[in-house]
Amino acid sequence: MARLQLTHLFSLALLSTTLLQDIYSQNKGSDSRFYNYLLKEEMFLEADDYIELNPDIFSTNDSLNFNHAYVKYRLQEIDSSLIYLKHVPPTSPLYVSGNNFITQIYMNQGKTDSAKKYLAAKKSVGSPDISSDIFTLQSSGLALLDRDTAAYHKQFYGALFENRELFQQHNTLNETFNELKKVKKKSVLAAGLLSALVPGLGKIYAGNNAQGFSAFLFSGILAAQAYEGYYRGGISDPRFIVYSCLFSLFYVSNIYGSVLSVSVKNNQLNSQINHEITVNTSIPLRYFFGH
Amino acid sequence: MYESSCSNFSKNTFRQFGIMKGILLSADRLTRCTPGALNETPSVFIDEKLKIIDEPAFYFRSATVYLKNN
Repeated sequence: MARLQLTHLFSLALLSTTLLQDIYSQNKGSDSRFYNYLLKEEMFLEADDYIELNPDIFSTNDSLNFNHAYVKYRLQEIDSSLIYLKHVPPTSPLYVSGNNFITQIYMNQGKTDSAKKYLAAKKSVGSPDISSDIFTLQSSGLALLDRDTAAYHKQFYGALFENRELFQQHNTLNETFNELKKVKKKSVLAAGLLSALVPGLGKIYAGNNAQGFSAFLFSGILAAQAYEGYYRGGISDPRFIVYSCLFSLFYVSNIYGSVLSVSVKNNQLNSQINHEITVNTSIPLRYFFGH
Repeated sequence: MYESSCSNFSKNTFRQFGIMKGILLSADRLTRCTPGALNETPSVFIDEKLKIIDEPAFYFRSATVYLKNN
């Protein structure tokens, strides 16, 4: 009798353990599904809190660090993201993907030398297909950021992609390269001389047509007023004195502004192109690691 | 159409670069303050309120560095 009771008790204990394990694993499954839902809906702030509260939804520490880094990356908390990424050890299967992110972060920050170090590290470790394709894309992006046309050509024509989307992204990057080729360096001296000849012409030369036209109108109206003052009252006419002074000020400032606007415009175009390059290389990271 | 008004731009220029550059850049800014300027500015220099980001520092150091630091 006692033996029968003991067997029942043992069976009951076994059943409850199995049941608890089942409930626990189901909960864990639904927890990670909820986390994936937050990522899908781009609710990164909530996802960040969710990771903090439920770190056990990830099976390994590496996975926890990688996911935390991804969420921080999307929240633009770059320093925190880098710390988490650097906690993923080289032995982890997520190490190479993590390096994709580190390379991208350094590219966004314009630290191309640091980005290259992580690209070099990838070659020694070897990588899964997607990461390898992303590294190829990032290598092309880095060559463009450095304005190294020879390296870019070598990279572009030698690139082999396993993934079709990444191949297309690489072609989009090439459109940025074509845009880059169209950018012509403008001469500061020419801009200054043109503005001295006709106010506003230097700005039009720099590529700012509306601003050039506005400067021309400004100077033209002041010159007309000064001329009228001179015509009616001569050189001692107060209207002539005031407007000729104003005209001189705007005339000189326009020459100065035209000279500076050439380098500002060059800077703006370079920044725009760099931005396009880094956007192109960062899109796949969001696409492939975002869910 | 600019993120910082012409008077603020002028004030900052005087503070950062002195009287001479301040006067010249302020006068130049007045002539640049035209609606067409928005179309001539690359999108990376336009903020979410569709205002042009234009700082005196752009004229004397790389704008790229400025954008990265901010």
